[in-house]
Amino acid sequence: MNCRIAKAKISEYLDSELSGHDMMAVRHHLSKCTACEQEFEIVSNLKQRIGQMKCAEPAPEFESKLFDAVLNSAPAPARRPISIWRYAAVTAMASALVVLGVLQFFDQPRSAPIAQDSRSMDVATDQALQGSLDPFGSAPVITVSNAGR
Amino acid sequence: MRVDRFFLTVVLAAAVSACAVAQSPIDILRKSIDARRNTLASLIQSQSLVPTSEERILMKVELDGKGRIRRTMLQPLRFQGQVMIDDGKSILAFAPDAKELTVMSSAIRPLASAFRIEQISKNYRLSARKVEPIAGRTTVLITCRPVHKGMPWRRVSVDQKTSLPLRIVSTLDSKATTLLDTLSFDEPKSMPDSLFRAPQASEVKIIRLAGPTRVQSEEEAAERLDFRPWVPKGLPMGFAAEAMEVNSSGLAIRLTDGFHSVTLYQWDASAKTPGFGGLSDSDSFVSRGLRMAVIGDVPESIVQRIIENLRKESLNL
Repeated sequence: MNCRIAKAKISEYLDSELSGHDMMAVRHHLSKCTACEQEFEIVSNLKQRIGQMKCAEPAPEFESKLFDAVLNSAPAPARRPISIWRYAAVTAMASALVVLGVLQFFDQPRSAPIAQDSRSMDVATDQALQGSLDPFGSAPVITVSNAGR
Repeated sequence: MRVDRFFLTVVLAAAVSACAVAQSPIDILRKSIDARRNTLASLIQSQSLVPTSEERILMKVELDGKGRIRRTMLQPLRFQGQVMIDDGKSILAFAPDAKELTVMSSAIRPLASAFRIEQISKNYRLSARKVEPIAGRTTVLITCRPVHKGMPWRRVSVDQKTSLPLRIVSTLDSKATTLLDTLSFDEPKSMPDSLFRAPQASEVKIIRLAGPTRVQSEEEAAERLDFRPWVPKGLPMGFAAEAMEVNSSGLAIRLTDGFHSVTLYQWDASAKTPGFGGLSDSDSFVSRGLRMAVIGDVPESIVQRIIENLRKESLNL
């Protein structure tokens, strides 16, 4: 293994993402190459420091400012007189939403989800589910952030 | 001296026969298909992410002996901490980083092993022998030689005590790929129920996926879909249709030769229906007014042969 390849693999080496063979090869190279060992120390320190950093919390007024900014950026629609039918329809819709909300609340698990979403099946998810059921299938990994989108 | 030699030969033959496997290879495979549902075990397994690629995933697999399975992803980092639970009623996939819980409310149960075994018997010639231990377990190696040229060989190492498959190797054109390997095998006395419930975390977004419905015929599928599906009759390389499933995106026809699984997706070719997400036009083809795609855990050459066959069959109709 040369220095170029070893340096490219240092990050994966630190995260234990390399195969056994590659791990051995990088370790062997680091043991005899001072330049790469220094690079290893730098990347290792960097990862440690990033890991110790705290997430920045937004200021308390951030949310209200953001909402104000969004609401003020959209042009206000021209107001029309509300007919009695439209008023009734809006009231009925709001009532239906309240009922649905209550039903969903009781359907929720104890972890209290922030939102529920119903999506259709995509191929990656379908294949992952097949893999999970198939005794001779591939690894059942659902790339969750893309599931059903 | 002659008697001694004869005696030695007899002893040797007895030793060899003692080492030979008592059960037939097909019986061992039949048991191995169902073993995940009735074995209490905790394993660390390495599995290929996509059977045809080199990328691997390391996971902890916990089986409670009552049909429930929990898989916790350990490596690579981008999947680390993801949990997939099959509790027998639904499949839950939890991604801690995205804080998303995908719930498949009506998970389809695995198909009966009988069809798989029938397909394996037709498409492979089997032999079995005892081999070196894997993860400290005594295993039986089943070598499966394909009848159809161009299909990969399979070598399945099955745990002698529990019948769980511990190693699966696929070999095509002298290139061997380890699809599944077992690094550790523990037999705990029991598993806590909490392992098989949705992980508890605050502010989790739940994504509900509409589960597929299994249908028995083209007619039944057509009743549930906005289009008339087509089930091919003559498939190459020993593949046969195992099941049909309808979901909100279209129809999925599961094809298998016993070991390999390929899905033929079908949806309306008209622009009105989006079809299955994640597929571009180049991944699919149009025939008989249907858009179709073939996806499976087989090398690309086999996928192409199946597509070629489908095109020919659909043109001849």
